[in-house]
Amino acid sequence: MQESWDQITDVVVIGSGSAGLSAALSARSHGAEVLILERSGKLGGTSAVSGGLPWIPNNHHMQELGAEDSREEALTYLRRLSLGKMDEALCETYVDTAPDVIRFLEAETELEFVALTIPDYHPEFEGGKTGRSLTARVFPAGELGELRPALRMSPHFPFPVSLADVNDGKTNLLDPQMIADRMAKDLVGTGHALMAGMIAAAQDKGIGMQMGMRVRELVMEDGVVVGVVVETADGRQRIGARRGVVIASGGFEWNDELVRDFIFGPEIAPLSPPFNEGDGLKMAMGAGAELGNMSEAWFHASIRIPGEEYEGRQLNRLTSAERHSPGSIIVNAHGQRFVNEALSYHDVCLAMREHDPQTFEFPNAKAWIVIHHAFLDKYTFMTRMPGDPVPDWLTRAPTLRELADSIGVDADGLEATVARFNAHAKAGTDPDFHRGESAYDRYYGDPDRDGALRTLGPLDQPPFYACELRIGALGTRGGPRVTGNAQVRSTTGGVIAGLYAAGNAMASFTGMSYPGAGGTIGPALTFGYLAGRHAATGANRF
Amino acid sequence: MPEIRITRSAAVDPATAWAFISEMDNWAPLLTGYESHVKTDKRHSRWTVKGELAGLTRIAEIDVAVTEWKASERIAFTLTGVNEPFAGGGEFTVAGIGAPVPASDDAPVRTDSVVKRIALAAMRWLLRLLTRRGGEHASDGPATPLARAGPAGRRTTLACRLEVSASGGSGPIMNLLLPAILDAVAQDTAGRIVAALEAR
Ligand SMILES: Cc1cc2nc3c(=O)[nH]c(=O)nc-3n(C[C@H](O)[C@H](O)[C@H](O)COP(=O)(O)OP(=O)(O)OC[C@H]3O[C@@H](n4cnc5c(N)ncnc54)[C@H](O)[C@@H]3O)c2cc1C
Repeated sequence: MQESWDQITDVVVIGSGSAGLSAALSARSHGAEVLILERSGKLGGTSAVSGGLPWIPNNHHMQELGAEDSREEALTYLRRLSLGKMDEALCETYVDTAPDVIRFLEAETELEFVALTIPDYHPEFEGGKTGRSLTARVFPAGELGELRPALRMSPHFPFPVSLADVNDGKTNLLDPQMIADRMAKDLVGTGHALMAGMIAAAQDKGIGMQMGMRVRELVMEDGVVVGVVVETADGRQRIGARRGVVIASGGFEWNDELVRDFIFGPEIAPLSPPFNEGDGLKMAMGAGAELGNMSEAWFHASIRIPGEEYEGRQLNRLTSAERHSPGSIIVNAHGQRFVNEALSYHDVCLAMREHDPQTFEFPNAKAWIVIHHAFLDKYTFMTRMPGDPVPDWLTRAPTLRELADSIGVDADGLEATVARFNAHAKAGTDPDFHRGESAYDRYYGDPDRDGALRTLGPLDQPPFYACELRIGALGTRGGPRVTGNAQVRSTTGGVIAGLYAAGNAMASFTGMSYPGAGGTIGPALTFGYLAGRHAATGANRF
Repeated sequence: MPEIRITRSAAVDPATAWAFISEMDNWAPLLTGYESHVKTDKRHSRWTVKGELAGLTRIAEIDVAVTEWKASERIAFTLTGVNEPFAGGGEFTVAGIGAPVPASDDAPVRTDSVVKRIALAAMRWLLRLLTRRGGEHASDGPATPLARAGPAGRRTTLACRLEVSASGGSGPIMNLLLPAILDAVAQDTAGRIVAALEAR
């Protein structure tokens, strides 16, 4: 068989995101020779453009915040959110392994993690906590050397700041001097920091990283995965994997056909780089993998700025201050609110995806954020900062009625909604949707205000503005089901020998839930680690 | 105000260079990120350009007004962002030279002294991120001759000065990014203009 390979290694990892790098570092530290194959011209995947936070229950940094956690509390919380769809065994594996994975990364890379004061997305539920979301401190990307230009950069987080800075409270994140000093040192933050740290360690440890390598097929012999076929600019290559292949190629959010077939509901707007087209899913299906959680995604209520493109595709942007700050509401075409706007971005989308069987419509799928002028004086709205001219992608009108008419929303409905919202918001209450009641709702609100007023405030200063809100997806979360070692399960029972999956390429084990900031990267790092370890410790197949 | 200056020599005579530069339709499509431009009158035009930084592209509309026109020598202009808070200006100059000169003798970025260090640092950092160019122009090292050496008397020096300053809440940070963006655009565009001129 050996003669037919263009390259041979022990473990092939498909994809260079957090799942892929974790798998690679783990396989390497367990003695395997590793090759990462990345389809795009950059390393880091969605993980690099992301906030870079992993959600790690019971992590050893929580104590620094004075927070405590336990295995049982974490499992209770996850169970509460998963609505009966939780894979108990995998959840236990996750909760038990994730803290060790952070220790592993701290030992194997130069990354330093810090626990954040961001509450879980439902801290009010039993087992909900603060301190499970971690972040890496800013990282000197210059350590990547010749790979520095290959680090994928984020259109969402262009500046070298870390949420650890927010925690410390000592850094003015908008101070040009601070930003310039950090740029001069080539420090990077957020997902860049996480991925730069992991890529730098991979480089140091001699892990191969090849870009422009789109894996298209698994090579199987007698039911065992022994290699991959790769599409490159110079033709196809066959790469042998003596001990295993890890699918870490992200979700399928950019594959319209797969999305239409598997994700129920209205159209989704992906926020990831446009390379996650479900190649890993298709290859796993071809190999006879059992699939799970196929209809779910990590949703994110998002906004488009016309004309903005990332990698040649319309960019969909994250929302936070736009929904959490006082003086902002979300309405549907009836001009009605339908959700607590300050819930997590994922949960807001669950409300946007609601189906009305009477009208047979998704009444909240087309929604708008409505704000008043005072909002723009104080808060950031997308890329527009206070003091900037009002961009023309914000629809503007002197009255709510005229605003409703210009965006095609029921004007009576909008006026009535705002009148009712204002009456309660002034008093810091929201009897309709309970906005401001949870610590999470208030976290991203206005720190100069107290209690529920951090997020609640009337819309009473014209002109008014509106912007369309979309059901975005950070990534899909269905794929091959795996064991506690991240081995891909077979439809015929048992596992597909030599095949592993991790990150958004594998079936998420918590159904529709998004437990807290970092809820996707935490599992990606953990199951990547497990995949790499198991693959590395197996015997060579050839 | 972040400013960049760029000088190139082209193996054509000054009259040819002026004829080319003074008619914006000739070189507009050579501008990095150019999408379209509309002339409102003899002195005013609106430009639509697509700026790119680290994979993100964004459309900007810019109003350009010609403020000075000295035939065969100099055109000065102002720039105003239509949908983004920035303003600035600059000039093109055309001069004949008697002997071959290095084609690229870029003057270093000049900025307000207070932000000079910041801007230079930001520029080096950002240029490495500019995906298309990979930062090869970020060095302060010796200039590389790009143009063919032409016969003495048939060479022209083309110079461009561009200054742009962002305002509003995001202005101070945008001003850190601008030198790198301006430099990248100017270098690319100048290279294309020289090539187009010499191909005539
Ligand atoms: C703006 C933003 C902010 C976010 N913030 C957070 C956060 O703070 N915390 C959190 O938990 N989650 C966050 N997310 C979500 C998170 O980034 C993703 O869920 C996570 O990074 C997925 O990791 P992954 O390794 O599975 O996939 P990815 O990071 O997407 O990596 C997959 C890689 O595989 C490559 N690939 C695809 N197909 C092939 C192929 N055929 N061959 C070879 N390579 C291939 C892709 O190019 C890509 O590089 C955020 C997402 C976005 C967009």
